[in-house]
Amino acid sequence: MTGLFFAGIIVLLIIAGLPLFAAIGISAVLLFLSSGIDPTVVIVELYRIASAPTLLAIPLFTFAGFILAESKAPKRLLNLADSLFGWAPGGVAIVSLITCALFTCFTGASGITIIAIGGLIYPILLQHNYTEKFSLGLITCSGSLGLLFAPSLPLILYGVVASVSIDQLFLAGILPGVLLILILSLYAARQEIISPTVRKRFSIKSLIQTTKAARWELPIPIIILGGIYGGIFTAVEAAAATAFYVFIAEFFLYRDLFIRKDLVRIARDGTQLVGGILIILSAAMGLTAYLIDAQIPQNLLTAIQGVIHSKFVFLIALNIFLLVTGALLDIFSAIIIVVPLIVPIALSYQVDPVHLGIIFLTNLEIGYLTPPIGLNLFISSFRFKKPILELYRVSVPFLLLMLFALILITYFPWLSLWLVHLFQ
Amino acid sequence: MNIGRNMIAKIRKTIDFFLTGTAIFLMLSLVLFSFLQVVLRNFFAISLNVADEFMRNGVLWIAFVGAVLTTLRGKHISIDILPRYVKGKRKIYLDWTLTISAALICLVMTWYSVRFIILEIEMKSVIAGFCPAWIIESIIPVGFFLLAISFPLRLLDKSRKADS
Repeated sequence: MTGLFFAGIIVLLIIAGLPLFAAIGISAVLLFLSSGIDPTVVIVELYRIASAPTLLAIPLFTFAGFILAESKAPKRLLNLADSLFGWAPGGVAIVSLITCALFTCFTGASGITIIAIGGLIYPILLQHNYTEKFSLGLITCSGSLGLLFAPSLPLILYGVVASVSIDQLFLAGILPGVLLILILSLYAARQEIISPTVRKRFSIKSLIQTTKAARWELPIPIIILGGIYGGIFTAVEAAAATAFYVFIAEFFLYRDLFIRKDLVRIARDGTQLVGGILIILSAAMGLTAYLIDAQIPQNLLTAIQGVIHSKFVFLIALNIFLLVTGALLDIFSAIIIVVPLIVPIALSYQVDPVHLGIIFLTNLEIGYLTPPIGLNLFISSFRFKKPILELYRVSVPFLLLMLFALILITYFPWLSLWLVHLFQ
Repeated sequence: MNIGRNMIAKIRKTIDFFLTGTAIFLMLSLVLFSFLQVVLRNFFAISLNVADEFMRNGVLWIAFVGAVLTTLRGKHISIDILPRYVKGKRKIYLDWTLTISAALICLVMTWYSVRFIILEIEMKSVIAGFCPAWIIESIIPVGFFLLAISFPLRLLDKSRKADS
């Protein structure tokens, strides 16, 4: 009875907006107390985050991401993508998708893409004759596109929480990520048939110019992916090299940023973002320990196996559950809370944990766009001063296309696993 | 009353100032040392395990320093369904309920963290073979305590701005 009373209060406080780390932390303390175990164990478990070597990659990549976001890199990237694809049907829209995806994989899907790049791209799309409806929908969905590409923070966090190799996750995300962009690009090209848009001619001169302008940023993917899969770096070492390289490139080679003026803000904002995520992870270590101790994942597994008998049905149920989770919870909390419960269940249905990670993140990516409370809808509504109901309407086609991609990603595991096996 | 409010603003600013300094120091040290490790490992085949252990603990420090900064700026991750629909006086009641709850929870966590540190001192745990672990781990109780005071500090300072 007392247990129910406390559980009720905590749930009410969560709905009311209590920071999640506090809700998770106190739940762990109360659960241990109720089973007669000293809750100091919650802190012992919390301290385990200092023994997870891959976690170091999170502050390092965040630092690099914040520097890139504050510099003129997005503009250079946009120009380069434009000279590469601006001539194609739906070219500018495709350019937007690619730029947003690349930007998101560096900054995490915290809404920065819509605020920073969306504001840059929206007027360009309108200038090129794209409808307002299409442009708004495109930018809203692009806000979380790119989560599957290295070195996105959710990808690393999934690896840490599920104890899955981050190197493998980085590879597994490539094809599904490209598939999502491809499907949306085809939709953008179709716009061209409905209402012809303004296209520019391909120019080799402009391509050379924009490539030259982005010369210090182009090696970044090579440092990360080439470094890891060329066997030179571990994921954490790649993070260290990227952070250092980006710092030198933007502060000293491009001189877009200045130590005195910008470094304090970037380091502070980066620490704040990392702190906000890691404090939830720290608090959740205790709760996860309790759940495992109380055999909750096993009990859940037995209950689910009683109802669901095939992998096919399990994957449908998993997708529905994750879409709802993605619409309700922020991506980082969703990973921290749900992954420890889901992984053992998925394993029992022979779902590869790397493939599961990609399914998981694709769902959460779509969750950002799912009415009524998908985060991107609110950010777009705020950024472009449009009513939220309009945002619901304009994102429907994009949502449906991404759901189609989700089905392909879920039921064709080789999309995620082919590259992983190739490099093994 | 004004003196009290000025004091609150001053405390908040001081904590913010010191933590921002710590954040910059931690973030830049992590970037520099981890890059140095990469260079040493790849070009000179030298691996400094001591630095590795300190850097991993640096992540713990970043977690707490960042969390307190997040609190001072009111940007914690939460499911804020209710706050979107509550306005006026009810919003003030809601803010205070959440602030007091979060602060009390952080105090509970501080209490258990102190017990953890006492255990670590008794067990004479060390980091990197020489540094008493409790010195590095003390960020846990200190962090939770700073979180506990940051929640009300932020709200009080915000209400001061609203008054003026």
